[in-house]
Amino acid sequence: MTNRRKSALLMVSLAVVAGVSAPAADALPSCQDSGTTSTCQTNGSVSIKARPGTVAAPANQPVIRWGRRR
Amino acid sequence: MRSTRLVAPLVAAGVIAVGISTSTAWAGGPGGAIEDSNDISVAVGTGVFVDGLVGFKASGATNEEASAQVIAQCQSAGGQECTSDEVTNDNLCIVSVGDDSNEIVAGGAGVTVEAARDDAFQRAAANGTPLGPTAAIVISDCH
Repeated sequence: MTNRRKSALLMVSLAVVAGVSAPAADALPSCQDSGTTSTCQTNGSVSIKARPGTVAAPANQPVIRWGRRR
Repeated sequence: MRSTRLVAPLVAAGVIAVGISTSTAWAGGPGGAIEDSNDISVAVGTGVFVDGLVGFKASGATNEEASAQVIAQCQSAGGQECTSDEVTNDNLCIVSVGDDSNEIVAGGAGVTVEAARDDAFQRAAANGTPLGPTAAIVISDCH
């Protein structure tokens, strides 16, 4: 067997190994493949969120302060 | 004979490589996006900031833990009205959908982000607080 053929065989072997092992390594654990959790649960909610209002007076209008006379 | 001598080490190397990769895969492999392999729950949530809604994502060993983590993240960042909008330990996508016009935020889940978004719209409508057409996904995650 020539060196070129050996190299090609090695490359093909590595490619196959990488293809087989990569998907399993990327898989994330979930309730379906965990031995500790027997129940799959998904919960959601709806909420109404008021934005914080801005209370600063416009810059071109005088601010009236109550209870302060000169 | 000579070729047999050359091929034998190659075959042995291949068998060893397959053995190593297979055992790694059976052991769960390297963590990926979730650092702790015990964290199987993921939650998404939102909080109100001066510039608008901000989304957060956190994981935990249980749904309750993931929800608490996402709220804690939001609060530590200075958010107000922090909520966990959707949490799951299943192989699903989860989203938080917010509507600027009526300040409604709803969580949803589905096999795709689009399906999760539709679920959020349906949940909000069923709650009597429908999301408007301009509602957008604030944060999403696929488990």
